[in-house]
Amino acid sequence: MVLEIKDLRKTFTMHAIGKQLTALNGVSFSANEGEFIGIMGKSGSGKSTLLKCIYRTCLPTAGSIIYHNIDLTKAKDNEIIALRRKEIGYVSQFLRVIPRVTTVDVVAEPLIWKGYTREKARDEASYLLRKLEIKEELLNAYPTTFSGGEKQRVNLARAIISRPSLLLLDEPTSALDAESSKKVVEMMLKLKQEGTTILGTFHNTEILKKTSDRIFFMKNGCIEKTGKTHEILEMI
Amino acid sequence: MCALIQDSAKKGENIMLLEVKALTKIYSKNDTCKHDFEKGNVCVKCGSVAAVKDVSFRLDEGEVLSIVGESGSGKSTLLKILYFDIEPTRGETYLSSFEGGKRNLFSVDSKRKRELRNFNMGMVYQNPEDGIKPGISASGNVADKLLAANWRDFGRIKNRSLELLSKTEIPEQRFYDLTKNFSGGMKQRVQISKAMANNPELLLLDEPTTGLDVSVQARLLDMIRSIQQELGIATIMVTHDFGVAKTLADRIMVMCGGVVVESGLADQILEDPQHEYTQLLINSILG
Ligand SMILES: Nc1ncnc2c1ncn2[C@@H]1O[C@H](COP(=O)(O)OP(=O)(O)OP(=O)(O)O)[C@@H](O)[C@H]1O
Ligand SMILES: Nc1ncnc2c1ncn2[C@@H]1O[C@H](COP(=O)(O)OP(=O)(O)OP(=O)(O)O)[C@@H](O)[C@H]1O
Ligand SMILES: [Mg+2]
Ligand SMILES: [Mg+2]
Ligand SMILES: [Zn+2]
Repeated sequence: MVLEIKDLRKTFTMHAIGKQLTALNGVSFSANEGEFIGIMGKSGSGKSTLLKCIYRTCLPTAGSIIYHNIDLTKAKDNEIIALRRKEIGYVSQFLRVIPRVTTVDVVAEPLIWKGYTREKARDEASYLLRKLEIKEELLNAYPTTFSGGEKQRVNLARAIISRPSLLLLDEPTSALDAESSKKVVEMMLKLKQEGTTILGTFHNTEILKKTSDRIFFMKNGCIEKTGKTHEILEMI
Repeated sequence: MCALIQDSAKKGENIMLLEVKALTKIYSKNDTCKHDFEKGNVCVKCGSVAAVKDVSFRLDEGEVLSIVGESGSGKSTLLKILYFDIEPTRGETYLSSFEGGKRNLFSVDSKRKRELRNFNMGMVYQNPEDGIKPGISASGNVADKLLAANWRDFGRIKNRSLELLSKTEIPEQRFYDLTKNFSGGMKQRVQISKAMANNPELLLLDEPTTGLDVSVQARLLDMIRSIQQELGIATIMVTHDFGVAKTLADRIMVMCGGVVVESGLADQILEDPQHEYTQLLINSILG
């Protein structure tokens, strides 16, 4: 088992207005090596918060997230940093890019953390970016001015280049056209085959049909329904 | 019914609102590429890239024009130029309500540009975070746009903000929460409320429904369409979803590599695309 989540809860406290908001209200599940789990649910149901708690951009209020015997809710910051650098990839829902770093360097960085030489890392990064059909003239430019789909592919490339063991994808194909989505699906399937565990939110059911083993359908911070992909898709 | 009558009147008259002439945005290493891009959008002499190249079109009052095209084809760049976020390398735009439609909008000073944005235009960015202020509430975000458009009556501002937020299905108990605490779909819906707030005569929508689940998507499109029709707002909508283009647009413009390869009536482009690229695009969606 790669990931085991038990009774995960997240309540945001907004001090300025003295309010609390429960985004996750007791989520439990486990995921195996090479498993692809699709996450669906209405806007505000807690999909992004779940992924962010695992990546620790959100601090859970209660519950545990055991990743290979490490409880991510209790892990020290430096352990989390190490895991993010070597094992856990994440793509945010928003089309943000790292400013002032060129495309190739953004993508090469995780390989440098893994010990590759800069030259080798940049070569691999360029190769992956070309596979994702990022145009030649963009490789050494700064992604801040890129198109939405280009930013999304750059972010995805950075997340997958070092073949993470756990990949968290939040709407990773929202800005992509059908052709690039197909490429991304192929890559996800390949990673899955190599053993990467993938958790991803998608609004596109076609992509889920092709990729996911199971689907979690979230509602009000809970997993309301869970089952094999086709079962859930038939239900909703 | 009312919308229908207005619709046909609108289509009978075809009063021009916006005219765009040869808009071009070139990214070059030294900003000096003066070469003639013979074919394609990369300068063979110096490697500069034309994100948008010689794009011209007109938009009539109340019309919905949809722009489709692959990633990187220049759609967002075009909208951002029209909203004065990106300065074009060259090209002109005329708005018939501004100085009799005789003054190129890019030739006015930044104060006038700001006024044009605040009074005449609304914009929904592809990335919802670009269109809202994270540190203020949902209603504050809409009010902000109204204040910029010189609304002064506090009661009216409040009513208008709440009306739009409910129309876009933001839960009532979240109206006064900071938008940085909102989910992606909620941010997008605040952005749409904000863009429609000042009853703009020109609405620019960049992938307004991405990241929203299908049921919300459909209801939001209905809402945009009903307000758009009721008020006769001319709209340019970028989308990679032909279904969305089909339901909302009168005309479709297809972009590829920064240039317009084909444009025509929405149903005609979908039924009978002429250009090889458009056919490919449509097939890849259906296939
Ligand atoms: N520094 C740069 N050098 C070269 N080309 C650049 C640079 N910055 C941006 N571009 C190009 O400008 C274009 C901008 O595209 P734009 O954002 O308008 O695309 P889009 O049609 O909205 O695509 P999407 O569907 O992915 O959002 C892209 O082709 C991008 O490669
Ligand atoms: N930093 C935060 N502070 C306060 N509330 C937050 C924060 N982040 C998220 N929330 C709230 O938690 C709830 C769940 O948000 P989340 O982003 O997980 O939704 P989602 O399922 O990803 O929705 P979408 O499909 O719109 O992206 C929402 O009500 C949201 O406003
Ligand atoms: Mg989300
Ligand atoms: Mg775009
Ligand atoms: Zn040149």
